[in-house]
Amino acid sequence: MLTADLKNLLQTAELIITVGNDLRSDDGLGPHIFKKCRISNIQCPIINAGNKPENIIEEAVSKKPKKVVIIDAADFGGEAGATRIIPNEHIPDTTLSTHAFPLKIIARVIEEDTKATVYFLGVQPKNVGWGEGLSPEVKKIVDEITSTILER
Amino acid sequence: MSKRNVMVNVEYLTRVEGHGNIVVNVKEGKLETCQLQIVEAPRFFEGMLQGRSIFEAQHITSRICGICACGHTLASIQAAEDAIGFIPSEQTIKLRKLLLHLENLDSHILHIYLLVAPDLLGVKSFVPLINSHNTVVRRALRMKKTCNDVCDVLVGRHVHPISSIVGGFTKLPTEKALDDMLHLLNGLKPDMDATVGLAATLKFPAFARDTEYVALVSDNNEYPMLMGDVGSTDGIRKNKKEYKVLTNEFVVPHSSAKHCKLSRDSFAVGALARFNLNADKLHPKAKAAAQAIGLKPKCINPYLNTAAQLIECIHSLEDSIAIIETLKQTGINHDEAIVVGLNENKMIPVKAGSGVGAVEVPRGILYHNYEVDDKGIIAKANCIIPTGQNINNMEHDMKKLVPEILNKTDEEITLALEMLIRAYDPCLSCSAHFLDVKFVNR
Repeated sequence: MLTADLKNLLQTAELIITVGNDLRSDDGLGPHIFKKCRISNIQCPIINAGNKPENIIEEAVSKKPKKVVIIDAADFGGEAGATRIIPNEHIPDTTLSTHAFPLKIIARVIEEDTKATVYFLGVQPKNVGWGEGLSPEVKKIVDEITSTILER
Repeated sequence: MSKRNVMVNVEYLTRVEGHGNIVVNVKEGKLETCQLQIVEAPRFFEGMLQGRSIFEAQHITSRICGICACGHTLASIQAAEDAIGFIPSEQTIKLRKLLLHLENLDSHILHIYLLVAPDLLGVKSFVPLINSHNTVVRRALRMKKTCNDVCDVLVGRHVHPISSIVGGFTKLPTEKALDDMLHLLNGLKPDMDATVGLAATLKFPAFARDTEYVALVSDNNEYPMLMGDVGSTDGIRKNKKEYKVLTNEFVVPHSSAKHCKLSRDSFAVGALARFNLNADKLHPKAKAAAQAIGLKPKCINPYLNTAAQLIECIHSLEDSIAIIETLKQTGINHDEAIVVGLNENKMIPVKAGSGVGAVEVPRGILYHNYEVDDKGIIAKANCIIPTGQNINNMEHDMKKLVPEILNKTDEEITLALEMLIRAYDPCLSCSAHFLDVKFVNR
């Protein structure tokens, strides 16, 4: 369940960026949130970086946000579906694969160009193996995050 | 020679794709162990292809690699078309060459900036460069995004192309799409010039080991990426159908990837091999850049594979622009568009046969071989990945390098070995291959 602080963060963010690969089970939680927001017909400032985060920098900067939340799966040893704001220094310098630029770089460029504060909201995945769909634990928190974003 | 002891054990080499270990043991100055251990599990793609249609094989094999997805797609299509005797149109061949160039450009830029530049600029990863080399990081991001965007325009996705299939393309670029691609690629030129400028300031490690270089070769003036025979700097020239003779795969106990050899103990494929065999066919701007950074064939310093990749970037950029301009002049024939599906309407005539695809992808020659029945169903598949061909050569390089640098500290030796392996831009997860699994009751 989201804390009041996290709900407030999601509702006051001027830009939400979702990250992940929806062919890797719970790693797709970011794109899943994006799709649910998009089909809701409620306007909300959300863009999906998928597994090519370098592609969204220009669009993110053009929106001139002051508060940005990046939502991604993050293994911090919690229970599946747990949420946590990941401090910048705990974001790894490397990427899960060599196919993409490190998220830290993307966040830094957005910060430099917009003077925004960027927060990383990590959701503990249960399974990031090949496959479509989310685990029940992750789906539950994803639904809550989505409805929180849409309640703004 | 120093009589010292050295033990290097790099578990999970970083800034390469997949998992591999470097294990070196020197006792009293004598090299006892020197191995590049590939510890990835095989992924059984050849098994997955059995019983599937050649018209879906390219979408399955594209998933072998997120970096060489276009290369796997094209090697798969080429093998399938060779098996059924289908000859693609000139327009299709041009678009396929363009697709290969885009992937080459994309992959090389990622390797040069994200994986190699940190070593040459003296930092541990790409992230600290945002402080010390901010403009370099931003240039890398711009260049990568441009490559993603052009690929999206051409084949419908940034990665894992969807419109390139057996017979041609399901969606052909419109006049606007051609203009969009031209605009994006022309916009890349200043960043490419700046990249050459950066490369000229970098100091690559000095090392030399003569080896056999293997790449596609042809009798025309084109730098061969999509078509040609397979040639080597030792004078070998064979048809791609003889790929098993050209690779001679064998198993070693310490690696889940097979090793390969040809005329000597090992051979190398990739950008440096292509440069060594075909430098005279590069675009004039690429030739000028090679001269500017002092790269000449035959270059036998494997660290300079990265420099050869940069030269290929310029060639791929200029040739991509030339291909698109030609297509604009001739106009796209949209009647050639292929209907999506498993050839239900029999647009492509099918017959039984065996076919081989041999395509130059960023890391070297990629082979696909399919045996198909008269309905186009794959009975047997074989894929030989460039990194698999290079691993034996990497190990031989390590064996020559270690005795030459025993006067350095353990940390310096470890870094030199890591940089050597990274220079090959290996895709270790794709190379894991050797397990012979027998299925019971199947």
